[in-house]
Amino acid sequence: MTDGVCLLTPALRADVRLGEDISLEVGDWAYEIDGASSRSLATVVAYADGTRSVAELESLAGGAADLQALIHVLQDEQIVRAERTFGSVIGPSDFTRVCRELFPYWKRRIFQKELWTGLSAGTLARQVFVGWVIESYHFIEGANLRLPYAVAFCFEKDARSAFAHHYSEEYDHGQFYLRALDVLGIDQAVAESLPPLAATTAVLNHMRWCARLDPLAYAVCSGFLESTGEDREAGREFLSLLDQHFAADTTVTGPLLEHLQLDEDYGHNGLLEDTCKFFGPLTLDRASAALDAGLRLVETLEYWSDSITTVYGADGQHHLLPDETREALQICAAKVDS
Amino acid sequence: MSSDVQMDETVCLGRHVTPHYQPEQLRLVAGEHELEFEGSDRLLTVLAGLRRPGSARSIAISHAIPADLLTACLNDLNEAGMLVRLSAEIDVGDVDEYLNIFHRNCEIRARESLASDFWKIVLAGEATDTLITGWGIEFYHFVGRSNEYMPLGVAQANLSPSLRLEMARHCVEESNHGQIFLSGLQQLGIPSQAILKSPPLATTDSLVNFLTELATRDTHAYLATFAVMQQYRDRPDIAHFLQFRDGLKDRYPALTPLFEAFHAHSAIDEELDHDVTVFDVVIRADGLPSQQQRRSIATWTRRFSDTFNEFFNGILYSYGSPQSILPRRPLRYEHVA
Repeated sequence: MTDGVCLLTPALRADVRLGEDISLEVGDWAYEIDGASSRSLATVVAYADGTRSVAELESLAGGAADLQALIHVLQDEQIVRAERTFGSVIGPSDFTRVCRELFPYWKRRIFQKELWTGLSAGTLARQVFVGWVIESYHFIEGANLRLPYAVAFCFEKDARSAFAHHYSEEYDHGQFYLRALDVLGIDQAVAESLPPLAATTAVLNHMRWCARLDPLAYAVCSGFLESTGEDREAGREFLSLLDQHFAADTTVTGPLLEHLQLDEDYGHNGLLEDTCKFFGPLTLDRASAALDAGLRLVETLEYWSDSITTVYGADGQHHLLPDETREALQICAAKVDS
Repeated sequence: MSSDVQMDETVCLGRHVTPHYQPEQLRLVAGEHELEFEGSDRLLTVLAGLRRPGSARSIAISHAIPADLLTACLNDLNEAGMLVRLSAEIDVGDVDEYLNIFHRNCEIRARESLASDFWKIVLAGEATDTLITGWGIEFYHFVGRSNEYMPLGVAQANLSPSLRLEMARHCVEESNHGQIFLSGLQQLGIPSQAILKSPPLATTDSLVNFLTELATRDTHAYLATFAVMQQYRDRPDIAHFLQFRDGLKDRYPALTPLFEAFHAHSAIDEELDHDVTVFDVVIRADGLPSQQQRRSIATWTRRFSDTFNEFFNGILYSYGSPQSILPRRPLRYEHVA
């Protein structure tokens, strides 16, 4: 509660989206705002970024009389906050708790994308499924581009050991996707020669950027990635649906199920806590930068999902695919036809 | 190797070329350039299908059309700037010819970016102020973050000290250019702090990180990407850029300060001779790269071009909606704790 005190320079949460009419969407919540003018709401959305006083916002809203009241209401719902400029520290366990609260919302954003709903429902063209396996191979094999980088750039000794241990359990998981591709008709030599989509490279490069920025940022991103597979039952069901919709006669996703089981056996979902506990009390800015890096990974994964659907899709932009990948898709199609 | 397209060269149409096929007539359109071909359906189908690489000889054999006729068509396409000469860039044996073909191919890659939906909307005067401003913000991020990849490129360069100095000079000259765009955005009423704190789009991050990674991996390929970024080997005179700026001002008068910033950046680049890329200097000094190096250069410039296209696609996707919020805000711990 704000006790009626209006913030000096209000800031709207970064993850707010405008809804229809006079409403806002924050996470799973939609807020319909009665009694506020669309002009005041638009002003808050456009300009309440922590750099303008309430008086300035009122001026921008043309002197709208309801603006202060709107800000009060949004403050009470914790949609508008003050940017703190003085120092304060956060304990690692509090930080990881906040991450765990965010992850399910971030996961839903990604899995609502047409790639995932379409693969589950079988409504996408088969070459999108094949493209997903190809790009997933690059992503999983890309653990050898991002994880050792994170190890090398983590100068906190114990956290580095945790990353190194995690890397030792991830470095060879590309083999599961190679086996799935082999079932589809793409042998290892061909698979290894296929260039990744720009969006796949973007995901791997974002992780490498996080490793350079701060091992805490990498831990958030890696922890989120691990959390996307933590619901093993949902994962198994998803893979079973893929086989139903897209496999010709032999299971394609058998190797992927093995991968899922292996990650479960390793207990990889604890990496976030296993590394963060060594970083000590965190400043607000450091914690914020790490969370923001995680949100930017989510946006990159959304871009990745859209890219696979668009570029590999039946009406998509096949001319954007490298020649080698187009040829590989033809091999897969020929195998089905035969 | 002559400057004409040879029968055994592997070529393909630039992705900015759109075929409009009618019986016995094919119109190929690339921006303001158009070529019309008349002939057998077989020939026209082959030309329209040149998005997939092939050589005149092999295509002619498999489609039973005269190879010399097809080669003549390919030379017309080459003259019109519609043809990417894939194998010639690798096989040519002379520095001057290599640079000619390399730059022609890069100009086509650059035109592919300009043929994106983003540019069609902007140049048609149909963009919202949000979309244009979003473009300005993302371009600010791209230019400002050149201080991530350019210094790395210098520090990691496997070149002689004198050639590395050329890279260093370019790096130093670009190092404060972000300020030009920041100033333009401020004049639109956006506080500088809001811009400085705003996170780039995923597709902007992708572009910057691509260059950062390439800068540490392959000096020649990294330097080659600037030929795509700078669009023209022979920079048009200042009147061309003034016309471009004035066209945008006419369509979007409220956003004039932003276009003045874009123009100021172009003018500075011209004054600093940034049209003569460091890549050219390095190639002329060190000689023709090996074929393997040239394959790597061609691969990476193609991938850079893809990533550059995605940069513009991302701007349209994220800022093209009426519900787009800008500038974007970073996620703060206190927002979610």
